[in-house]
Amino acid sequence: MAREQFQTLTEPMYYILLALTEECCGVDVMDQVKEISGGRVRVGPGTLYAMLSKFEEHQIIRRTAEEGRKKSYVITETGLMMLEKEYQRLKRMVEDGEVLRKTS
Amino acid sequence: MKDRKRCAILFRYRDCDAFAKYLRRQSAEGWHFKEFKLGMVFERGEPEDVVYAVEVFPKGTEMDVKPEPETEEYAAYCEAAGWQLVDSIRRFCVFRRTGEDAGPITEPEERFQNIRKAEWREWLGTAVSPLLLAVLWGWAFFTIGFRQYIFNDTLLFFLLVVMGGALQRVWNAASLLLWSRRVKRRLSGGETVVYGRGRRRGGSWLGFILVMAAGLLIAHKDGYTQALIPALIAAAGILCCGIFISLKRPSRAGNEGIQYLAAFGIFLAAMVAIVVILISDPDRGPHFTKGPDATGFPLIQADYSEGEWELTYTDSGTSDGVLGSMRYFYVTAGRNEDGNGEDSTELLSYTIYQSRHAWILDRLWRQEAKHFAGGDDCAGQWRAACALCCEEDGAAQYLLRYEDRLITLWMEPPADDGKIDVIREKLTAYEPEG
Repeated sequence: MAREQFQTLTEPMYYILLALTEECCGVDVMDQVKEISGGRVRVGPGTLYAMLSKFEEHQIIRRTAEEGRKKSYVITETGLMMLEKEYQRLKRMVEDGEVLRKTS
Repeated sequence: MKDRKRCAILFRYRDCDAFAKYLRRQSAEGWHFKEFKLGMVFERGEPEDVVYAVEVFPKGTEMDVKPEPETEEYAAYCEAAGWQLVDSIRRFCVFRRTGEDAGPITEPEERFQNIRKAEWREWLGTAVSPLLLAVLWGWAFFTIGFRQYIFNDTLLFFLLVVMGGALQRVWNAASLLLWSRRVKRRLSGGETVVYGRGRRRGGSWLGFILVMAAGLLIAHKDGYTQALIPALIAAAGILCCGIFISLKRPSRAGNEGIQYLAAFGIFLAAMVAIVVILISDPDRGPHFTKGPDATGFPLIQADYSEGEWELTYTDSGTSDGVLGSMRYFYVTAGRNEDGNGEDSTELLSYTIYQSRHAWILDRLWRQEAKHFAGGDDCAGQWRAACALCCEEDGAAQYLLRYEDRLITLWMEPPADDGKIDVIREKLTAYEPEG
């Protein structure tokens, strides 16, 4: 099924959705991701373009405005649920990893 | 000194990095890529180290001859990241780097998927027709059309060309599968993949032109010169359409529309040419003669039957090729009186297949023998390697196999022993002139 590709979000996917928790122009998402991740994560423009198309197709984000070639998006409720689910998964992973601190 | 030059686009999608390197080398020599218009157009300028990136745009199609709205949207993202779109065609997008810190446009895995899908889509678009044609034509050759094809060098040649084209498509698919597996393995191993070998691939246009020229010569030798006119009209139409589209660069929808119209127009022009050819010479063709003239006929009624015979109708046809020949003859003749004092008309029709290759004659025998189900073995009578005969309603059919020929014979009335000897001698000794 189409939604299976979003069961676990990749790092670029995660940060793109984080950037779209506020309405943002598609072109500016690259800078937003860089800012949110402290420069650690960079999303290529081609990758971003493809992901925004897929997210919109699966109603994970929605288009809010369109001016010529520039489109603005914001995350949907479905997208927020996915983001929250991924956040909880990553948080559990970190918590499970606490055993490393205890053994070292 | 020239300010502009034009080169053919000879890169595949999986050569996109080689394509980018080629453009960079050109810029270093002072030739800067400007646009796609009947090939790649370069403008002369100062030598410069320009970094290009050639991406395969997943939303592009083979019908795109200029940037579509989706391409322009994609270009806007790339521009914000330090890559300016120079031009695009089909699924190729050529960017030049404008930002010093511009990173890769797509992730490696995604880039590989874009290239892989583009390659398969292109293969499908160019392979389905040749493969289908090869299957249909091959089926016809080995079944219902065998006797027409095997002695016709023109049909045989083009059949070989079609088969060769189909084999090449199969080879391309196998090559693509291997390439895909190899790249996937390297990506899984964390390697950096560079697409292409850094040099331009040679075109196969010269080979194509040579093959077509050979085909035209063979067709001319076989007397099909006039029949080639519709094909040449179609080829000229397709070429003109291609040049027009390449120069005018319509949108995707416009391109599709032009091609549909051109296909209709070319079909119409070819049909008109066919009709004009047929009307101008209804008895065209060097191989057919009609009318009461039996010149060159190895056998007529007068050869084996007494009386004053008058030919009323004759027809013949030939097909000569490197693998052998087929000649058919049809004779209707009448006698003023037979033994009963009445007028009589006799029909005689025979086909002589000659070939040095036993397998051809054997195959023809198997095909013809199907029409003799229930027939009698008359090899002894005809002193043939094999012979079948059927008699019905005052007429007889014979299928005769000799070492170097196969003969089908239909005659009315059936042959008696005396006639058989004469007929056999005439037909087995027959050698066509020229």
